[in-house]
Amino acid sequence: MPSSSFAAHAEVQSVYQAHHQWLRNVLQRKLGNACDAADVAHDTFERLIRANVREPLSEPRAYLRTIATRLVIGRARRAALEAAYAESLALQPVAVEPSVEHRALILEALEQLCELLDTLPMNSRRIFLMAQVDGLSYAEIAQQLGLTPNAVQKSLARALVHCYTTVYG
Amino acid sequence: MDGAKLLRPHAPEAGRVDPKVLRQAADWWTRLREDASDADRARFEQWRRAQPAHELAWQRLTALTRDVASGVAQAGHDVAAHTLRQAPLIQSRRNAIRWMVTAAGVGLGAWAMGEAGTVRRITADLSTGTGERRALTLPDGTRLELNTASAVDLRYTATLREVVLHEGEILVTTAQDAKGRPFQVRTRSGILTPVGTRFVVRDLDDGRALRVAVLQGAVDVRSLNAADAPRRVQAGNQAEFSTAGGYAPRPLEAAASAWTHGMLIADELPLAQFLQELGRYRPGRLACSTEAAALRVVGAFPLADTERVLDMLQDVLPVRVRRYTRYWVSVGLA
Repeated sequence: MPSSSFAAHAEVQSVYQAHHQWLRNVLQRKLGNACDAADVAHDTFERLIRANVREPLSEPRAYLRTIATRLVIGRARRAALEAAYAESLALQPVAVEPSVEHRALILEALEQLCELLDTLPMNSRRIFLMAQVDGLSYAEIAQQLGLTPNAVQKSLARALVHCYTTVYG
Repeated sequence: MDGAKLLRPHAPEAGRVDPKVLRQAADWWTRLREDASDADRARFEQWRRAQPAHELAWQRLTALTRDVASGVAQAGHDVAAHTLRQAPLIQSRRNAIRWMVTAAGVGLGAWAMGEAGTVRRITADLSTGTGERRALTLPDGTRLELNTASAVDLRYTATLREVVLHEGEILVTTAQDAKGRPFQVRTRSGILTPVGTRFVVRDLDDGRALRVAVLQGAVDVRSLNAADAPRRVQAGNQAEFSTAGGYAPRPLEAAASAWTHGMLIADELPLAQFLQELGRYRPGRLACSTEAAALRVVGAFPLADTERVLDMLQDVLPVRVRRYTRYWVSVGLA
């Protein structure tokens, strides 16, 4: 559809001209750093292009701010994850030094797992980790958390349903 | 990066599964995870074959748990267990957005990096992000300076002026209160009562200890370890108090308040300790190899540009700085 993509392109361009500098200023105030602000602003417009907007945006600044906020949170999470990963490597009794490439793959996997678990309530999340990562039995989990094994099983089942919904919608 | 997607939907074209069927599948899955009887297994097989939707739900659920297990195996079990427990401190997207809004609303330029303290910093009255510093004057004239990654609550009542340091480090310059209310600083490990003074308090060891450095006047410190008697630290001295019951006084070091001038001062500081200090001012991890840990660092370094400080290290010490990612830097022997 060349005509609609042309329209989308023109829209992005006009939004860019009108609001790019504003967005950078907002981000710089928020992040306190010009480089990060430029990066996030760039990614925001990239998202906007990919979103393939067909009609003029009625509230372009609100829209840009929403995308940018999501991106900033994503970066904060990524940084937190990398820090936690690095810390856990450092805690290993035997020095582990995965290659840069291997690290990237592992971080990618961990990030997806984090996202999967992110919306679980705190308790089910703990139970899920104890069962599926630590491999503990219901009885062991129950003992540690002061629950009955039956309650642990039910909670794990609910967590699975929750995870399923995250993947399949 | 989508090529490496771990959690791929299984048979996405097969459409939605009825939530009730899904709950049954999850119930079976969790039951069969542990010592199911033969009778249970037989009933399960019956359920599974009863409808195609049952089989689909079952396949998807097992694919999901298999993917989780393979992600865990890929990272290494211990690493995954630790990382997944530590990382996701920004609990939900909604909370995170609320936090962004709040932070913008009170004019904080900072966004915390999701360390253990993030939540404390989000909810505190005053806070700074990693690498940020703030100075302000309270209504009674007391001046506070917050160092990097610090969080403070103000509890001013009719009878008491209390500053609660949740984490991080502050410089306090007290003022005489017009209403004559006493002033104190509370940390997670002790209570400090200044006597007309200027001092730095730092929360240490994840709240289990505190360090006070007295620039003027004196400060009385009551450690939360009940066995410890209150101690007075005079101007020109600094001391650490631990809830385990430790008290280590020594002469005031220039390094204790150098941050208020934007500097990090190292006087024969082991590299590992230097990097730990520097790491407070930048997001992510700053690691030091064991071989390089004992090298001594001397000098005054600008906190505003930690990247430059790392480059400077390479000029003065036989080390190489490896940058794996922006948030992950390691210093080792060259």
